[in-house]
Amino acid sequence: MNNYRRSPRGEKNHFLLIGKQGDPCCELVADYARSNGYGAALLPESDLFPQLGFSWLLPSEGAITWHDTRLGFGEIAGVLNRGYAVPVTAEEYQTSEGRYLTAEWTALTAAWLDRMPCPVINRLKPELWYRPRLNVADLAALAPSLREFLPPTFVTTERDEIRRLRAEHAGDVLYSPLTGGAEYWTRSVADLAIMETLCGALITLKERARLQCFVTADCVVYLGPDGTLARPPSSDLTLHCVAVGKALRILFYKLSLVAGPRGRWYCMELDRLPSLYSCSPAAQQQIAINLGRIMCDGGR
Amino acid sequence: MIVVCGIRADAMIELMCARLEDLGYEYVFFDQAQVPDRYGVSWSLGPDGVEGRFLTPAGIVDLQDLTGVYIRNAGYRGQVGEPVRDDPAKSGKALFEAAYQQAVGQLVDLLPCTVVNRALASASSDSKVYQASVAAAFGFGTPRTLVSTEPDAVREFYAACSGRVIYKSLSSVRSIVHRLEPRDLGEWLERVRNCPAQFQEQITGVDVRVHTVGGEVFAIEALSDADDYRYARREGSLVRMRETAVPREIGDACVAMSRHLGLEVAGIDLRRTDDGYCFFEVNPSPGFLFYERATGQPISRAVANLLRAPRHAGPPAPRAAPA
Repeated sequence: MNNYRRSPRGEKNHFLLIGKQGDPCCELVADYARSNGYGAALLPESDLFPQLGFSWLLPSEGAITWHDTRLGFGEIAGVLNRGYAVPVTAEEYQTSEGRYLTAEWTALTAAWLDRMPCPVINRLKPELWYRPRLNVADLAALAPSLREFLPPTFVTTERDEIRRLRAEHAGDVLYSPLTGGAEYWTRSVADLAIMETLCGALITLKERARLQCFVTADCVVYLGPDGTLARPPSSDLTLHCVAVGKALRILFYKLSLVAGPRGRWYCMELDRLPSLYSCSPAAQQQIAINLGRIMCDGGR
Repeated sequence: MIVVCGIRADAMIELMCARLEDLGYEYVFFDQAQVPDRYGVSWSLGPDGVEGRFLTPAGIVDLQDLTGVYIRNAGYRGQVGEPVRDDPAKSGKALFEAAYQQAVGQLVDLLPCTVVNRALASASSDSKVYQASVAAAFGFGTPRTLVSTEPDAVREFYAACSGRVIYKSLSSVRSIVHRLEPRDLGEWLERVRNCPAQFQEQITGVDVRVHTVGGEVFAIEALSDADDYRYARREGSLVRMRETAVPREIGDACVAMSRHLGLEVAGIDLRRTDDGYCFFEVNPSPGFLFYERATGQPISRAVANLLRAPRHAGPPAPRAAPA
């Protein structure tokens, strides 16, 4: 397998970024890489085939070719995977060939990134392959030790139960469809009709405040509703936020946090492919630096 | 109490209901195709875990009373996995049905009792290459394997394997084995640039299917001249099956790997060679009816007993793969 070469100096000297053109997260991390003496190659997920050259002789030998650059796996210092494992356009996905290619790319990236001997953000357990976002029930199943960090949640297919719960909590019920990441307050009769039609998680919590935080290994960046940097509410909350990643064995994610009665904070959702669009420039920069540092530090 | 969750048209659901009936074990059938009209769930999640019930025409089952759930996840309304984007009515219906499927699936993932098998534990079957690396960590041999989009690398691999190479998908989609023939190495192979594929050195030996049920092991030999015995009929070949035994360390490795993957019941495809046992894949939702009928092995009885055993508080504890 002569094609699978290491760099002439045998160095890990490139960041590999899988995602899409124009993603601020990929761009800022690529800037970080270059300013620290690394190369950075972006693989735009929707435009990979037939341009991508990829060969992997299991367990660990291989190389990747993109345009004129060929990188042995041993030359890759770190991987930032911002892709959804869907290497086709929405139109192509409508075809059986498009869906087949998606299944194959998913299978490839899941196995290959798991075996890469460098930092991978995020290296995913199979339970997370199809779950870019985790709702309360997902988090409870995947990280049982964190249940105290999750709000009380009710799921029912029964109309009477929905009405009873809503009456009991005087309309203070947050509705989140089980199939998506949205949330709605259910205060009108029309809201009730939606809840009865589309089964969802009903969260009974008197909300006091909201925050989001971007966690990069042990570093937590809190943002207020306007996307600017916010002060950490407490060191306990920071520990809880970091513990989520340790339980799921991922390095980068965003948590949506809600403060309930007595100032106690709960996690409403985890997004392991968070967008930086809504973050202020200072916040974006801080998050990118945290990501770049992990990729430079090495080790699994 | 045991809940059997699926649709009646599924032969495995029919088998498990019949087996539980036969053994006199208390169970309820939960028809996923009739949620929410005739069947339903209500559950809540708090710091102490999950509470709630299954609602069926036969009665209400409190989650506290459950010892086991047997569930087969299927695209039971013919919609799941199909594109629905161009038809708003169809997409709305698909969303509605997906939400109900989630309400049941998420509950089952949260239950502390035995579940055969949790959806969360089933994803690994979508990457055969991932499974192979897990199997290698448990001591199984795996065939020399190349994953590639580069025709020249495939030709080089073909030569290195002396022309004894098969190819197959990386995922569970179209997962049928074919032999790579010399005539394939020309223009036809250029197609690999459009989609990665998995190429493996062809291993000679006898196919062995091992079913693990908790800590029990059932092994079967499949004898066929087809490239893939599971699809022997398509190739005009026959398959003969008979009960066999695997060495203790292989059985233990199968059980340990199933536990590592979070699977209470698994179907593991191996090939016995002169050098030992070579791993191919793990099926998290094995159709053991096929094997039970052919050999008389009491697999469904073992599954029924597993479902009836006292609760063990959550999914099988994942074991670290050996270094």
